[in-house]
Amino acid sequence: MNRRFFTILFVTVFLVSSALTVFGAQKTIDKIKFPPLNEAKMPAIEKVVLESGLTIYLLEDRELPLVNARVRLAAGEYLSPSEKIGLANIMGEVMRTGGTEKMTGDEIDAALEAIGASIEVNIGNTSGSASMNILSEYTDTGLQLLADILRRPVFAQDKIDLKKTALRSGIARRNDEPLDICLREFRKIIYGKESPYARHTEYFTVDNISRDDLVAFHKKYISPENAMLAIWGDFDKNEMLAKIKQHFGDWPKGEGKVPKLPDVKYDFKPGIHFVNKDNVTQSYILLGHIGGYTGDPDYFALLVMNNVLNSSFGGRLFNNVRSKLGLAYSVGGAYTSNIVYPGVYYSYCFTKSESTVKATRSVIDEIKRIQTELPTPEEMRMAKNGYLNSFVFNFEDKGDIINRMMEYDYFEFPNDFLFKVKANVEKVTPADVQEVARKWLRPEALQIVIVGKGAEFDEPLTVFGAVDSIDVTIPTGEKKATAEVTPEMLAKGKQLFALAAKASGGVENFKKIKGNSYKAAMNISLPQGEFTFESNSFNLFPDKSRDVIITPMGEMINIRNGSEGWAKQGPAVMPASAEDLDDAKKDIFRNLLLAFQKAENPDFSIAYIGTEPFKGKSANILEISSADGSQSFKLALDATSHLPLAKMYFGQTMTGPGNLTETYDDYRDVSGVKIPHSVLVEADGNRLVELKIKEYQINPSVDESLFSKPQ
Amino acid sequence: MKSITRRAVMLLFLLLMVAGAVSAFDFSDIENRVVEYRLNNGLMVIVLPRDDAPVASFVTMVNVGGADDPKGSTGIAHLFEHMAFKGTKEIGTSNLNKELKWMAEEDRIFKQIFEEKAKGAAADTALLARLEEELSKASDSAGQYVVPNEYGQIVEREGGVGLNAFTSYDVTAYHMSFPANRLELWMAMEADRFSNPVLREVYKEKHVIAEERRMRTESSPQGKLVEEFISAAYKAHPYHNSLVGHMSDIMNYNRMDALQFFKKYYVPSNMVVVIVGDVQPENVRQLAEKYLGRIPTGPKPAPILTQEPPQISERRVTVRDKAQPVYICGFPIPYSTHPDMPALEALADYLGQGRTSQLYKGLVKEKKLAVQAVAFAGFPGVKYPSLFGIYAMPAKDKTNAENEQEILAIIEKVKGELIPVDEVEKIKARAKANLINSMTGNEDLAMALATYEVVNGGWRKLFNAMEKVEAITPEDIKRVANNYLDANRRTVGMLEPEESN
Repeated sequence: MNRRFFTILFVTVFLVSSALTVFGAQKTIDKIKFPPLNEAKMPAIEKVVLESGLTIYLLEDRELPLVNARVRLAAGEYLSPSEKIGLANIMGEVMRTGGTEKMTGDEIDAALEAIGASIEVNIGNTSGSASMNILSEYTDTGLQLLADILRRPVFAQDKIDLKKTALRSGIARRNDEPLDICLREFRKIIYGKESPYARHTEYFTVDNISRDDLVAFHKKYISPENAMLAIWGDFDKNEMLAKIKQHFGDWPKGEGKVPKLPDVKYDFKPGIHFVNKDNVTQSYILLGHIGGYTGDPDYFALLVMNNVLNSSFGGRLFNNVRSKLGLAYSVGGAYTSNIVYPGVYYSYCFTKSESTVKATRSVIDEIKRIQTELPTPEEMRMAKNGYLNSFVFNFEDKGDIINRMMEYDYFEFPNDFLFKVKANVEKVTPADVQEVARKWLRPEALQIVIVGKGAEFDEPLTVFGAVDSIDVTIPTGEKKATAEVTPEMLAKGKQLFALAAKASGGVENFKKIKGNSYKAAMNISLPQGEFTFESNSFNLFPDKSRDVIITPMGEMINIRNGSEGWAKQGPAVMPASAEDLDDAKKDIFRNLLLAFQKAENPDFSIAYIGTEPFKGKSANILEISSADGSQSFKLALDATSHLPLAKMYFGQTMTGPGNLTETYDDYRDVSGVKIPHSVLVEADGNRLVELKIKEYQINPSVDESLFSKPQ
Repeated sequence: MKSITRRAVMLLFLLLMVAGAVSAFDFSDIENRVVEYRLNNGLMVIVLPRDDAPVASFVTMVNVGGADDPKGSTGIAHLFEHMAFKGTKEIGTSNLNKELKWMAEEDRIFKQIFEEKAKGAAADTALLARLEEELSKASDSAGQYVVPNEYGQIVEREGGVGLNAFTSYDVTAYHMSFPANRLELWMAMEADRFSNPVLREVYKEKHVIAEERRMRTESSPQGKLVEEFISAAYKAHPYHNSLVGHMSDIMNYNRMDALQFFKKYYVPSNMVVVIVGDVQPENVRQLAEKYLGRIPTGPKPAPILTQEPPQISERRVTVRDKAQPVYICGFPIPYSTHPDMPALEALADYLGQGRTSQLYKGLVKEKKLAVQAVAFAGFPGVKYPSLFGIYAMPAKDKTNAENEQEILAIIEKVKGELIPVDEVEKIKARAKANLINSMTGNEDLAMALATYEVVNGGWRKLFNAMEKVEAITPEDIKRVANNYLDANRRTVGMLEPEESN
């Protein structure tokens, strides 16, 4: 039988059974007659294109004294380089918080909050927006600020640091809630973990981002040809247009349109991926594969299929997995479509650990069933009428109306696309639903992600195939930026490092160094305040050290000797922790006195990364790594004197691992080499300790017993 | 030079604000459009016609919540909320009589299970297993006559959107929006479910609710913390109990428990209906009398008389989990209509709402101890004496202890000083903007009217809210800070990272 015959057959069945429902009705509600619905008023939207390319949409709505605006920005996180994921996001936030040429960010906060207004900038994966909500009496203030934020941000360093702290904290928290893990890992499996549609920040990608990057990103992508402005609310259109022209009319064109969103390569194949989480009683199950495009002719039937399968009351998944089987509170899904890149198909179900496999099977069964069992007339009625009868809600909110028009225009979709959807949904038949379910759903090639307590599952996950255990351990930040290191970068790195060694006294002089000792004043920042202590240090390179800190409570002694170490405070002697010993070992690699001795060592890879401002000076940044890549640190060299300005690395702070920066100053000659006599140590941007050296000796005579276990 | 320019800019902003402040928005335009009437059975109906789009939003709010759960049946208010979507004598069944017969059988078996379980260690496990099997069969038999989720399906099919409900400690609210010409359908369906509810599938639904508990509480470190925190802050008042219910209560309660709860609390005098949208008040009135007027009356249930005794010591709870730290603290404050509430809300705004708030400035911007720090007045409920809460999410490598120290310092500071007048003006401006923004959508406005009617002393107070806010002085804020933010009446909840193995 051909498809057309099927269609006719089922339309007939559908009509007959609908009629039966009506004739057989006994319900009170079936007797209710609906009066005609008042027509949805199509608000007049005025569209104006400025010479600069900025498109403006205006819609008057005078019920409440409010003005809302949304500037659509074509820039997205997809434009950030892979070693700087988070760049677009930080740029967006700091545009708003980091101040403008006229006001600091804090002043903008105060000005907005004093009038109960908000302006926020948010850059997502594929696009961004600047939104404003303000009482109409303050419209002028709002527009001025909005224009300044978009056009003249200054990206104050302290607000960049604040946002980076927030991002790092977010990374540290990303495994706290099982649902977050499930969603994140599923996207990576569908789009690929390097894909701009799935990838996410890591400590090192955040660390790699500098203010210069933000300035460059803003200059390149935040421009009138990449922006559209919609404004709606309590104003007179002509007056408003004049005001907008005043603030945005002279916005100069930028460097052209943003590059296109990248394509997605997808191979259909099944997979079962598992993240074990011991502190939960419920499993989070997400399964699916790649989805489709809004422009596809099957889009309309897929919308109806979504309703049959996933509708929140009366969809098959809800009816069977939740209501009939009682296996879940949350169950559902969707076949999603995007305009430029494919959406995803997903189904989800959260169920108790003991029914994990059973619930997964029941979800898969429903996916298979939508391919084999035609939707019943009642299901079709619900799925189609649900869309058609609720169509009027597309016109309830003025913001929705104007933003939809702006989005369609951006993607060059017809303005009446929504009506096209409606007309086509009306035509969808049960056979169409089955056909698109068969064409687009692939139950034999589902990627399944489960986060839960594996020990309590009803059956092993191997029933679905070979299990891929996902390691969600958060990379500590030691991982090197994945940017390819070119031979040029290595050559230049080596050359600059040799210059640094030379400026610091020459490799030969460093090679003579076997040990050192120094007395210093240590100023430590603690939560209780700042404290200054005397300190005394002895080193016998590579692996013997003794640090003594003199406190009002007595001496604190720290000793490292090869693979052993001790701390002594008062009468108590404690062995060093594994983390401390490990860090001490890494400290040997990071020791600059030793590094300069190894300037010619082939096991030592030195890459020039770039030249950036560092605390008011121009600095050449080098990344120095061990041959196996397991250890690395960065060095900022003064571009003029070549002396080290700072060393950056991932190591132990007082509260656990973190990003440390040692800034060097006050260089003095000691036995033919230049030694910084001021060292400032910061952890994640916060001042930790500052060392002022009073006496410094190279190769002092020291008694080896100083490095043995204290008594 | 630069700082002078900046000062000039700030001055300009102040001038603009003063100029703007003269024109005040008049809420009476909207207030005067509201029509209210009480039906013969005592049900209050509030209508706000708004013909912007041919749609309407509907809220039915019942003055009953988790705080009213009887002992041993925590979570029953929430269970009934789920049951209200299961249909009626007409909706949700293909053969009511046969279905009712099997439902009675379910109840009989469940009672047997309950009695056997009550024997504790002496319970016959083999018998229990057999009974569970029988219950499952009886449920399946009843299930043959169930038209699953028919209630929701009709709503969706007829173009309803946002069909949902929530249960708080104070109230239970049912809400949705329809194309405006479905007004009569909504009336008929709403009246039907609150006159003739059939509590079908209850023994399956309790497993759904158990999953909801696992999702919201047991598998979420923050969910665990919030439950522990609330139960520590209240020892006598039922805000102490789990809102979704303790797992054993969810497993033990039965259909009769839910039905009795419904009969006691779902009486017209204890409910309010709000409709905002493209409707005619007179038409609404006729239909309301025809349909909602049928909901049987009953005596207005008594409020909870148990009072939380004055707190005499600090209380602290710590949840250790594989998660990053979170800090909450709370101080007892009065109920929603108490005259100190506006000043307490202003205090919460000053301390912890927005980027210029004291907590955000101190903890996030300056000391970099936290990534989020907020304050709020009115948690976990407001019908009965409530809490003033502070929540902080420590930044990476920062601790709850460091955050607490700074939070307490900020509290001491606000107790010791009069906050500047321009800060108070800012609070007022924000309250006004928030109020106006809450009126943009039909559903938000309907929910606000219902909430004001049920727990805030009447819907008109929504439109007069600004009067009380306008009257607040710096002295008021200092006074409430000193009266309520007392270290000896503090409850602290902390989520602390568990050492990973």
